[in-house]
Amino acid sequence: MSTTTRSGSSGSAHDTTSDGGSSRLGTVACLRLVGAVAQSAARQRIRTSGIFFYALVWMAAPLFGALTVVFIYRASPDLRDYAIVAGAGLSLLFGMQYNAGEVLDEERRRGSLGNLFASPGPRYVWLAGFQLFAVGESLVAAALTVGVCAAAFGLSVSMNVLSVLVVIVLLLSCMWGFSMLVGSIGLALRDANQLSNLLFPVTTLLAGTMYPIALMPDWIQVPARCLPFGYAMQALVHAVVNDASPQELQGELLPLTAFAVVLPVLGIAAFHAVERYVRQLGALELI
Amino acid sequence: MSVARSSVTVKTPSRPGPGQARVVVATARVFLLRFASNPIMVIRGPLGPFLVLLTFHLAYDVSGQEQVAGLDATGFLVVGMLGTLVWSSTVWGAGNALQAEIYQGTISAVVAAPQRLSSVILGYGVGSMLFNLPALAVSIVTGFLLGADFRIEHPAAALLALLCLYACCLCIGIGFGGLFLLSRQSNALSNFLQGPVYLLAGFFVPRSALPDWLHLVSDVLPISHAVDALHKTVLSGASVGQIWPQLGATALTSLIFLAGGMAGLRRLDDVVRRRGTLDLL
Repeated sequence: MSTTTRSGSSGSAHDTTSDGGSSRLGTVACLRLVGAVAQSAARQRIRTSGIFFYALVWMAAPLFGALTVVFIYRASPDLRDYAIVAGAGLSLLFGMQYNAGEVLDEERRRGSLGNLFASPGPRYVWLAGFQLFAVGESLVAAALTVGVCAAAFGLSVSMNVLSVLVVIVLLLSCMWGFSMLVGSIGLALRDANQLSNLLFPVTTLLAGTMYPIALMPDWIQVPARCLPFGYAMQALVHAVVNDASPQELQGELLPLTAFAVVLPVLGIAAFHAVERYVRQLGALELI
Repeated sequence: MSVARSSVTVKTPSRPGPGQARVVVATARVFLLRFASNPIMVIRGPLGPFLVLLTFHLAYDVSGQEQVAGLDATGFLVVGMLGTLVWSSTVWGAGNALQAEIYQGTISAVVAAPQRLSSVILGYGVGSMLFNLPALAVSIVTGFLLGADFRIEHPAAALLALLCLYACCLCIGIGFGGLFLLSRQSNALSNFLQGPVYLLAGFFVPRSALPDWLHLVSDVLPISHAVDALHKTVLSGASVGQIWPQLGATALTSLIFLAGGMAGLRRLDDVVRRRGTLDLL
């Protein structure tokens, strides 16, 4: 574990870095730790709210968001199909941004963040556990959203399973990096929830969860192309509705793959930088 | 340890009148100061409506719909955005008021103090609505920039419809205040009650597009009728005489929420004092 202490008299910072136990834990132990953290996060969430209220908060918001869009497109079958499938993207975006982005802030509010950092497990292992829970929850919400919308409005499905799997894996990697990036900033600002509230309308506008990026005005297409979500939504819709193969989706999958590599790296770097920053401030546990 | 259950209820002397008004003003002031001290909230307030309006405008634009239920699509969305802002104030301001006091550890003082709980809830609601005024202005300006076609031929009627929208939401907020607290899941309910009401009240999709059974559910909500009235006055140039049915339905359903809320708050006050569970809420 890396700890940094700042000398008040000289003003210079010196690092005392110790191994956080990563070398002492094998792969199996790390995987068990990931599973245990994910399970603990799920139990914590359900115990806090109860299953009913938990489902109300985390499943209903993306579902009704997608339903609203599908109602708008009720007379346009192509756009309606797009909105139903992209509803899954909306659910993933919602779940990963709010849940994964805020999980550390929740720990801070509960006063257990310091303990997490002081625990002997590598921090990326317990962080992966939280992310695993977020991914599972988001996938359930996504499946529910698509299922309900398809049942209510109908959906022409001609699915290429391989393409769907490839897109979802790449999208989750992108979302994992993105949520870690957002979560790091939220941790530094000590208000991840409001940051998520601030960013969600921006990402909804640019993510192509409501309409294909190609149909947006040019001035919005430019920033939208700088994010991975629009490529993922377009590829997902083609894979589900038009039986598009991975080869046919090259135009979307190539940039998506690049984002799937770069965003997690950026996320880890941001998390590391923020961790050093808050340790220097000594503000990790302060509300 | 055994707990003796007393059948005696301590009645709090309420002072209706100027004292209650001072409580509303003071609570609203505290709410505004708290929110104004959060830079993200200050940025998000006006930015959020702009982005949401733009997003839904694009949705209607890409599907080639310039009219929604016979009304200008962009104007329809601007009215819906106003409804969204007021509804947001209802659930997060008024509905969540007592939960916010619990979160800050001040609920005991609020309940024990000689004022009505409804005044505190009203203060939160008013504070939240005032905080959203810049967002309201941004929504209207964005509407003009996006080419909204407003047809206000009777400004007094439009103003009356807008006031009805705010008033009915305050009634709903009082209705929700006790319910949210008793559920012990105020935050969850506040989160949940956004999406369904956006759909049911016709903020972004006309109520005429809803299936019949959903339309009936939406009729229970005062805000649905108030938004209908605002649509008519702002986008069709309706006069006060032409929106009486909507205003009447708003008043009737609002009164039901208000009466239920007042009764619920009295019951809440009584129960928490008798059981001594105030700090456990």
